[in-house]
Amino acid sequence: MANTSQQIDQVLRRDYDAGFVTDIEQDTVPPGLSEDVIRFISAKKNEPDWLVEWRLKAYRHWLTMDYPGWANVHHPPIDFQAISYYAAPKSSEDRPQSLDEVDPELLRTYEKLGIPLHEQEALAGVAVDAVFDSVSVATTFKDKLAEKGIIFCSLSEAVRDYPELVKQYMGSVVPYTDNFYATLNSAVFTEGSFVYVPKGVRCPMELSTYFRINAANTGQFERTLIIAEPGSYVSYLEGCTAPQRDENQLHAAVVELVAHEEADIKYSTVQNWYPGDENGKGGIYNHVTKRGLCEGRRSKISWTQVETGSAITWKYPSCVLKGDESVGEFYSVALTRGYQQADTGTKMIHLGKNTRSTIIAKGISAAHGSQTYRGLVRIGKRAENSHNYTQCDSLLIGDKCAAHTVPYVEVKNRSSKLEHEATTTRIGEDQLFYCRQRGLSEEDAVNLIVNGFCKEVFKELPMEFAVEAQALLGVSLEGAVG
Amino acid sequence: MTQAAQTLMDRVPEAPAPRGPGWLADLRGRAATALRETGFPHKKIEAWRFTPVDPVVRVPFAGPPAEPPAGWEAIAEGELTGGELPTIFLVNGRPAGQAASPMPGVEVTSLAEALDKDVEALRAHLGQHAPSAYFSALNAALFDDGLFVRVRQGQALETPLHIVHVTAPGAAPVAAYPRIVVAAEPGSELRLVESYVGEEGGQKHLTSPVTEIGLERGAVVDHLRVVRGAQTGYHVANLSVSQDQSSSYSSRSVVLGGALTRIDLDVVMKGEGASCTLDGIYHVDGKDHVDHHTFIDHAEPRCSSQETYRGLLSGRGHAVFDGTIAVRKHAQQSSAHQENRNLLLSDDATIHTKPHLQIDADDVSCSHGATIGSLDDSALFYLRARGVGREHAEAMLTYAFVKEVVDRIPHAASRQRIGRALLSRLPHGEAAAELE
Repeated sequence: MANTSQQIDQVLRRDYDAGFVTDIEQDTVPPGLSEDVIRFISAKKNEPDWLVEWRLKAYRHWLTMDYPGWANVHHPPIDFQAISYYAAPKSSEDRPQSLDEVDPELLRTYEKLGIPLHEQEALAGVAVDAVFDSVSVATTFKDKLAEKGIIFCSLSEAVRDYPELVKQYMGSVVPYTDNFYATLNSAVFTEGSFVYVPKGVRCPMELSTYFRINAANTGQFERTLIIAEPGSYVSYLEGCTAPQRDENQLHAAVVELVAHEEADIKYSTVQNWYPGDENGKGGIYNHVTKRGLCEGRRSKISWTQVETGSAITWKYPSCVLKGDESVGEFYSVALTRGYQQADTGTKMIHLGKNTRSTIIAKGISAAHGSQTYRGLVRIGKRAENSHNYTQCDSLLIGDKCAAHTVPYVEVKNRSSKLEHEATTTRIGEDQLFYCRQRGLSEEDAVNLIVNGFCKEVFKELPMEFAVEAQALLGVSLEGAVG
Repeated sequence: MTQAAQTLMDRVPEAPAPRGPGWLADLRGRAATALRETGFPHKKIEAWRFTPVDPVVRVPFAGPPAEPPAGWEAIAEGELTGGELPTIFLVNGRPAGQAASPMPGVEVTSLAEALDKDVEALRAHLGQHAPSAYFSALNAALFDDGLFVRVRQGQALETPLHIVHVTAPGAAPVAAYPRIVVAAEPGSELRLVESYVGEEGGQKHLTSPVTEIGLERGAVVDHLRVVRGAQTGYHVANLSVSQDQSSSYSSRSVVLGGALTRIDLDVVMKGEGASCTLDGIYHVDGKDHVDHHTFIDHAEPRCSSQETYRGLLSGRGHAVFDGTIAVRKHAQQSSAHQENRNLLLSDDATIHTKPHLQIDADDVSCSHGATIGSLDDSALFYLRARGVGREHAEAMLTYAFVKEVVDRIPHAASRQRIGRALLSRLPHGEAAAELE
């Protein structure tokens, strides 16, 4: 380890002496984390001083934090010094202005993953800000959005072009001191998306980012920031796949949403990263901090997630309902099979009066999968007349899987109402029998029942995503039953 | 102890006096060591997050005086169960007063006596079910008496066994560590009515009982446990139940306030086909703090559990409910249902509830539900529209919220007294007396 950091020091001192900038040759840094690595990332991205300082403050704070051990997931300890914190595709220095300029190698990789950009442009009317490893390589439909005054770009571009917006909002929902992984992300984030919807504008299309993890040994540290000004609406899709890989990869993203008065943000995720092989080897460690702030009156934030991938999922998309009459929603389907482990749920923090929140969480465990719903609903003293409804259902397939439900509930005033229910069952013999009797194969029957179980969540997804999610669930359950 | 005790921890002996049989000395020694190592729980310990015990452990409570302090009988009158039942009194953890007339089929001896005789049956249960941590370790290190109840095989008790715990501090803060051990032999049946009462006003007092109940094959135990809290009284209890095959345990817990009341109820069903029912009612008012932690362990197949806790919160009261149901890997065909409902009657009251399912088997039917809210406006309107005054209607609906659980208390005299005590604590409760 001492050798490695010496090497880093040597490499970095040279760059640093040169004054942060211009012709830095390497596109990746050797594994390891130090203040110099952070300065390197920052310099590489031409960031302003305040951002470097912010990153360093986060890093220094991170050093004082303990590794969080409370989640119900078990994995070998992560060696944060073995991760490379910056990787960029070869063609990153000259950004392509259109798809034609994109490295055909990259485009072919996308195609292999089944997400042809061209088709998406044409068919779905989706603007894609694709993140390949850490640098944005293609952004589409920008002009159309620009007409409406909507900003949709990579976070680095936003730092360059709209520094005052980024400075105002970044860290306002998830402060750099928030938690172990969010703090790490604040120190080393390399890429992400930035969305700004001006006052009264309804975003005419679904905005979408596809994340990929590709280079070996790189953790991904995305940071997404979405700001919806008063009276605006935006729907954002996030979907993920990753090529098969043998080593565990860490992913620690941060997503911050800010909804001002009467603004409405809908954030949908389909996550299908490599879950590891049938023996539980490999797979992505996914530690994500997602939080939305309903800042203004009558604002609304809705999270929908379908989680079928990753070896470890550690994720609690949350809503802080600060504005009076604001609304928070969380719809989730999580599927764990093989040796996958998921500890996921949500937090609804009611601060404003007459605030409402709904939580529907569906968990499916098969084979050795382990699944925990962990949630918090807090209704503060000032949040009079607030209402929460929570439903967590778990479906168990096979006798080696596990489902845990750990909801925390706190209420501090009497005019609020809170209802929570949870059930855990397996697929009923009678349901299966009914389907089999009508000529469905066992696998189709299970698919049908599982899709029915998840229907409440799928109906919240945008149409093309819902179709994809259903297919994904079917594929994921293949061979899980029998 | 050369130095004067500053805190409760100073009362924990480094090496407990070698008294009683050797295995007991070991047990006490281990408990004292464990407690000295961990210290008392604090906010960072998940299970104690919402119940700070600082105010309790800062007081260097003395052990009970050799003789019951004068006036304990008057305090005992505040208890809420029994009625005409013959009663066994434990004052500050030691049997006192006249012994109850012996009932056929059951042996009730003081724990000290049973230990002197080193009864084999006691050894099978004492310290075998309760965890050795925090306050139950404190009890293990410091208890000096209690009761040993043994119901012989196949015996069914006609009348409930009535035990009243009185904590009477006298002139200085006092702590009582009663230890109750119940052995229900195969096929036996026992109804147990247990009541805790402490002096209101006067010196502070801590009651930290540990109750261990072992149910052998097919045994049936119905256990009513009532705590009448005091503004000067702390009650930190552990109740550990171990169930063999086909046994059935029912717990009915009633807690009316208290400066700090914490009850850990652990039930392990370690025999196939066992079943348990846990009912609970709690009311907090003023600055009361009441915390229930329940843990139901489905360790074997075909066990069932049903848990129903209802809470009423008024004033600045704070209630905590944390209920865990664990279904172990091979415990197939388990059925577990848990419900915690709370009625908030004031804007200053706080409730923390955490129903927790931990399921490691697939052929199960498990559910939990939790609700928090205030009185239903439409129900209130219904009553008002029929000429019932607001206060009266509110009292009726409030009592109705817990009545379902009160009504399940099998012993009629106790049920009536508890119902009345609950009503008298509710605002305008007297108006709803006819519901009782």
